[in-house]
Amino acid sequence: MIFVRRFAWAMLGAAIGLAVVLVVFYVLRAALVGTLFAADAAYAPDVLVGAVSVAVAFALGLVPGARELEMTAARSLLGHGGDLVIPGRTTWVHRFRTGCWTAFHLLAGLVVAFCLFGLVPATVVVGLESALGRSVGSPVPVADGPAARLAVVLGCLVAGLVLLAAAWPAGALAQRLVGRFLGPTAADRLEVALARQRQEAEHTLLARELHDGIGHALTVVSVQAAAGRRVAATRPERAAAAFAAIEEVSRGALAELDALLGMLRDDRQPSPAGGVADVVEQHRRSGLDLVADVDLPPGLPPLLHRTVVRVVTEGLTNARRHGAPGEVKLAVGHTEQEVVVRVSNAVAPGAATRDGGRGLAGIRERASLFGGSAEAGVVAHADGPEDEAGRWLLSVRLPHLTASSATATAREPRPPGAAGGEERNG
Amino acid sequence: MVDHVRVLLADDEPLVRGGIRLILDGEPDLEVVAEAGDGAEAVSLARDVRPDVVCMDVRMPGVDGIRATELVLRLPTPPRVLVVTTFEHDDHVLDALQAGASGFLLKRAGADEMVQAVRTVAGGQSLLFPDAVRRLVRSRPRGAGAGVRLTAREREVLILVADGLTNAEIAASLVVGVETVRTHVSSALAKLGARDRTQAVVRAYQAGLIDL
Repeated sequence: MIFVRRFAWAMLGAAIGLAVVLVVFYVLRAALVGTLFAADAAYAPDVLVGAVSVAVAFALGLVPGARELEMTAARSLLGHGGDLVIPGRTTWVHRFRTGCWTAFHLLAGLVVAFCLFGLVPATVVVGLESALGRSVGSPVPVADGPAARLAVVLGCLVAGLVLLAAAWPAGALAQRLVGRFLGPTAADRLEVALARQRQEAEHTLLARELHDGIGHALTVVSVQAAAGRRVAATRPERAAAAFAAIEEVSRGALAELDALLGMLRDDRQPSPAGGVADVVEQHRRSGLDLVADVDLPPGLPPLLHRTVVRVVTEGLTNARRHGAPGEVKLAVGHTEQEVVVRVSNAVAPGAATRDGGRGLAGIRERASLFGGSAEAGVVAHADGPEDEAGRWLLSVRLPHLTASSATATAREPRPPGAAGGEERNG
Repeated sequence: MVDHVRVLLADDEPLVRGGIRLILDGEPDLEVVAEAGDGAEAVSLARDVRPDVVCMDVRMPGVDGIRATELVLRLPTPPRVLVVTTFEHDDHVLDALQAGASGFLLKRAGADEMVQAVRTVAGGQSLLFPDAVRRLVRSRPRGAGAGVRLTAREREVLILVADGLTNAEIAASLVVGVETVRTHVSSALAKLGARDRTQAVVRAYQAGLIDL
């Protein structure tokens, strides 16, 4: 079975290779008649035909779809089980390798075909002549003496049989080499590894967010339930308050769970700045004097995008709740390393400048999940731009998810991670 | 035994504080005297109101529960610290025990367990939730012996302490006088530089002096 497949692979190469050689041969002959290269007007020089044919075979490999075809052939006919890739972003390295491989395939096919259709018949004829003891038209002279003729017959028989199997070593060699040409390049491997790591980093964050958020909610629910039951008979009004807290917290946790799981299911990318634009619109409708400058990169990972939307929402809500009347400025920008969110608002003179509050703590927590940071406070007159001086500024940096941030989060000691999650009932 | 236990609650989640307060305040012998929202506040309140027991959330913003435990225990009349945690398998809990907390309580514990935990820690007569402490202590690799040598009797007593026995129970089990047991316990505590029974068990195990 393997032999048949290798044979088929070789014949595929031979068929295309023969077509290439014939076309090149006739085109060259037509083009070169009477010139220096083909003075006798009948034949183009073999070397030239060979070189041009190889170049054409290489060029065939550059045709879009050639790599896919060669990959399919390698998988189904050579039985190659390893990694062969159609690159997401085709580089010249990929093209060059595909071209080389195609040329190799056609050449290997032609060699096998030459063995089968040229050399095997020759051994038959030469062997036959020696067996009969007379020439039937081959240019090879018939040997003298019975011993020599027997040797020639046997030699031809062995050579013929060996040549019949020419597809075997050719296929074996091809199978060995295909990975180098159609397999992933070092850059491909790196890219795949990085993509995988980015995805893992995102999943880790997601798991941690679930763990923290839901764990926190369930803790409140369990403590409040224990307390409520304890005082149900003696202080029913406190028990009712506990019920209310349980209801609110569990509802919030369910919404959070819903959103997170929805994100896991939904692989569609959010439209850039779509979510932020909605939040901005909401705040404007409700009367906030808001100047917004939003510039988010396309293809932001869903978790990061969602975090940006959350940070903007919390920032604007805080500005509206605690800020003095006046313009609120929102700037969402990005560099290659991070997304930066800045919200600034006027503060009443003498207002508390204590950097704290549940909202900011939440923003900090979110930012730290990404290895980012959140700072808030009144901008001193000395530093910062002139028009921001004396205003309250919230500034949040959210680094893009990269392989290094994945390892950073893995090393970060804060939550107990999987251990706590899995053995919660231990 | 303290007849009236004054408790300070430190937790960054008001709803958790409120729930625990409701449970503890329902007991005639327990009283929540103050609430703190973070570690720094817990330390300054502990200094001012001098509680008998601090229920300390291990994870708090700013000064966390471990650091706050250390600081609180350096006060002139230190309270006992009961570490309160969401997750039992939390490295921070063991850190807090090593810092001198007298025991730990899971936030998911029932009301009775919470009340019992506060009373046990306030009394200091026996180890709180010995099984849980044992699991926790075993979860971390042991360090090198700190050059401390315990007598065979001290080791024997310490193992019973780790089982959660009081001095009277240990005395009955070893058929010796309570006073003798008390002597062994305080000598073991002194050798290990431990503040209380919990810390002694943790340190003795980690120094490879006892097996649990």
